[in-house]
Amino acid sequence: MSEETPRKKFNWNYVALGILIIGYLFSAGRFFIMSQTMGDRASDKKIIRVAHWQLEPGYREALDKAINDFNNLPHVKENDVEVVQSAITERVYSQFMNVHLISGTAPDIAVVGKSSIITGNAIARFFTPLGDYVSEPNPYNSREFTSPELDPEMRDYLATAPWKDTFLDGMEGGWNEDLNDYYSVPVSNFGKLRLFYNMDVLAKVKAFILKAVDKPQQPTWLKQVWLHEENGETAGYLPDSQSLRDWLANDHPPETLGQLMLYCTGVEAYTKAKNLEYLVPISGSNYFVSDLANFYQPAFFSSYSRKVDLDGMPSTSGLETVSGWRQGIWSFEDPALREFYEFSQDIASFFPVGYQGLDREQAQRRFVLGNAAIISSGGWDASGIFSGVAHRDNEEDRFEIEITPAPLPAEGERWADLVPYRPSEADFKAGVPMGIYKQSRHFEEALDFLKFLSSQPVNEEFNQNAQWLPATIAADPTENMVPFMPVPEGFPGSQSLNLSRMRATIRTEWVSQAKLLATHDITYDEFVASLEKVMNTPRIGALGFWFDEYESSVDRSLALHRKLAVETVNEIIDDTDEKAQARQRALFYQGLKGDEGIHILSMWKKANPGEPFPEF
Amino acid sequence: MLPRIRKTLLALTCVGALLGGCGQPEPAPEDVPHLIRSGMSSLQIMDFDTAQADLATALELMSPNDPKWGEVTFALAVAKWNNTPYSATEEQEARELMQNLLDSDVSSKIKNAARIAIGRMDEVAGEPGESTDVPAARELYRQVIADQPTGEAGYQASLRLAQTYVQELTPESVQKALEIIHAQIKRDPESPWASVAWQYAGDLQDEFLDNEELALEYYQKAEKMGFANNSRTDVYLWVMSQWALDLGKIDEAMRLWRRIVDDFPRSTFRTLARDLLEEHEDQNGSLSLNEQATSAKTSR
Repeated sequence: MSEETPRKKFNWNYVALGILIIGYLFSAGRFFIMSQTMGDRASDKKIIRVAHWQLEPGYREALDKAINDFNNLPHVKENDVEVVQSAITERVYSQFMNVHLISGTAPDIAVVGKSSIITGNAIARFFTPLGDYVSEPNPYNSREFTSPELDPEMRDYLATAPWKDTFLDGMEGGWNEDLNDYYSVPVSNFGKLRLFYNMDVLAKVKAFILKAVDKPQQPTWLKQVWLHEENGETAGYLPDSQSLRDWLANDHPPETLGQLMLYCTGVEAYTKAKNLEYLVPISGSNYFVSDLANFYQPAFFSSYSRKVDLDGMPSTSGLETVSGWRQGIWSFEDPALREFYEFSQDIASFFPVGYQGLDREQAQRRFVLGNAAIISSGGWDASGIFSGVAHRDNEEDRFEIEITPAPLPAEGERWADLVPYRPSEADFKAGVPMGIYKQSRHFEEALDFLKFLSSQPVNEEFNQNAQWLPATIAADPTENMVPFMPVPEGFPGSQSLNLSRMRATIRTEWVSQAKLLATHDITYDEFVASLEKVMNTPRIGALGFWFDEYESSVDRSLALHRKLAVETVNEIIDDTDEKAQARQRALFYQGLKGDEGIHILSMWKKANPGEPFPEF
Repeated sequence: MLPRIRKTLLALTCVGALLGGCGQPEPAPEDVPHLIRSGMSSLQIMDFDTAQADLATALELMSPNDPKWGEVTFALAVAKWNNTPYSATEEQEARELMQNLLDSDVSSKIKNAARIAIGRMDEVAGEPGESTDVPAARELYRQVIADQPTGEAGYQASLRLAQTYVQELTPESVQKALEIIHAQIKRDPESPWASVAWQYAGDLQDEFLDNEELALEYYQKAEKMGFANNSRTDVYLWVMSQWALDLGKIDEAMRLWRRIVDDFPRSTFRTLARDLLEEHEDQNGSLSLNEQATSAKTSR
């Protein structure tokens, strides 16, 4: 028997080590190749990356065109600068920015917002303040760049005005109230909520209604629309009149709220009469702006603003709203509230069945396919809707679209006394605010690009191509976008019972129950009972709101105090800076008003004399 | 073989650590201007940790005779005092730095800013439950007023002092606060800070004493000088117009509405102001027509 040499046992650790080394080499190699081909080292080029989440049709292409124009400018070529865009989906934009901002690898230019770590003072950690640059004229607004067809006075103004004064909103969209400085450059305008009408459907339905109106025996659906009494209560929307018949005979969309309600009711009747299974009056969805009732709510609740006021300021806070209810200044039995919720039920009845399970895209698709007479949305959706309709396969499926603001009730129509105005859009702020990353190695070049993009001629062309509203003065929008220009006429929307600034427990209950009420899944009494239950529960209701608001007010006061302390340092270093001094006085006044939450205690005392302040 | 790999890795780690440690030279006096600049810019963006690190290093390298010593000490104290989350230790360090300023030869401006800062530390709890010393704060504010009765320091101290009385939330204490504010305005009526004082006095009259008449009068004085928070002027004019309306001062209300319409095209109050103006102009118009008709009848 020969002596066998013992077989050496195989060590599996070598395999693991081998896999680790191969993995490392692969990853390092890939990183090296990518940094050589995609990064700044591909050549000596200065690459300026622009990140945004505007994936609406046309926006990227329009930005590409502006970027190409910039990249082809002689001085940009000479300096070997290249701007590229990174369009990132809205869903991951926040995570993308958070990771890259912290790791120091964020794009040179990024749209400020979305990310939870770049709100409030934190913006200053990651983005460069632009206050030192906005007072100088924008060189791309000089006569060399603006069109000779422009009004000569406007050309002179653009050439000499400070950069910030060449924005429609005075560059407020880039202003950071917390930090008292400009941190971004807004380059587009969103445009507020408007109604999109399918004009083919409109013509057919109006003819159908006119025919019904002219009948000696009007159909029941039409009789229900005329303003009348039902069991001692007002029902219907508007009176029959010659002006109404004149409107029915022309080709204009509804001009009053009564006409809108008649039109939507007419669409329903037309659908039944013609057996059109899919056509609905309004393409509603769970997307906030597609529920038209939300637009009218501030107006319905506006009459309470002064009555519930506790802080002497005209805007109504969530706390004042809840306190007003607790004080009995308003109740859910008031006509304004009852009428609003009846209105919201009527509006919801014009939406497709199960609309709360539909999202924004589904609502848009329904309208584009011609299965809705109306959709409500903002300017940001306009290009998608227009291009969707224009690209329908069959030419006969394409239709004309007309856009109008949501109409107000005319005198003599239902709700005319409750809705005298729509919320004013006078204080709009331009959007898509682009900031420059603090660690960008190419600040000057990035700033140069933002000046280029926000100059009158470029901003006009860019937004026309994107089918958005421009952010710069004298920059004309396309004809399609004109209806989205801000309508200054109206009342301040903040002067109304404020649900949006309500504490989360009450707001969530209010919003969710209101949705169930709108679809008749619960009764009005059940709606009121559920809300009153929450509002009466001490910790999560009205009393807890006072306590939380006091605590938040103390926090806000401390945050304001930090800003003021920094301004005091500035003032000590340089007491000749008048702007800094003015800022300091403004902050000091705000600090006096905030007063470490004392004003909340004073408001409590005023609203609840003799009652101790709630503590939890 | 594995032990050999382990040894190699250990050796590489040691070399790496040594190389890494060699990278940071000790700061020298010539670095002070850079450290101050860097600390101040961190302070501007409220990065108090970085500001503290740079300013503390700079301060260590500076002599108290350095002309910038006072500013840097104050800035460092502000960075410690305002750092988040709140730390009682840092606040104590800030207090000591402010006290160093009071014990030094720095300008009276810096000293008064330090007094107000210590007063605020005494008066405001850094976190819930922390004890405060309002009498000590009042004493410091009074010292500032005595040292600098006019100008920014005098106004800040007077307004802070008044605020300590407002916090008592009684009509008497609010009256006491108003007396302090009026005394300050009397000492220095032309200062731009007078606008802040008038407006705050108006707020106290409206919110705490329900006196819209005096609130309107004080706001009118602030309006004349220009509101401190200039960007909200249209809102303040609207508030004033509501007070005027309540008091039956229609002409004043109309003047305020006209200002909103003429001077604030981007105000959300513009439509309401315009409509109210038209409504009251019509009423005044018909009133004057009636008056004319009456006088015509009488003359006949």
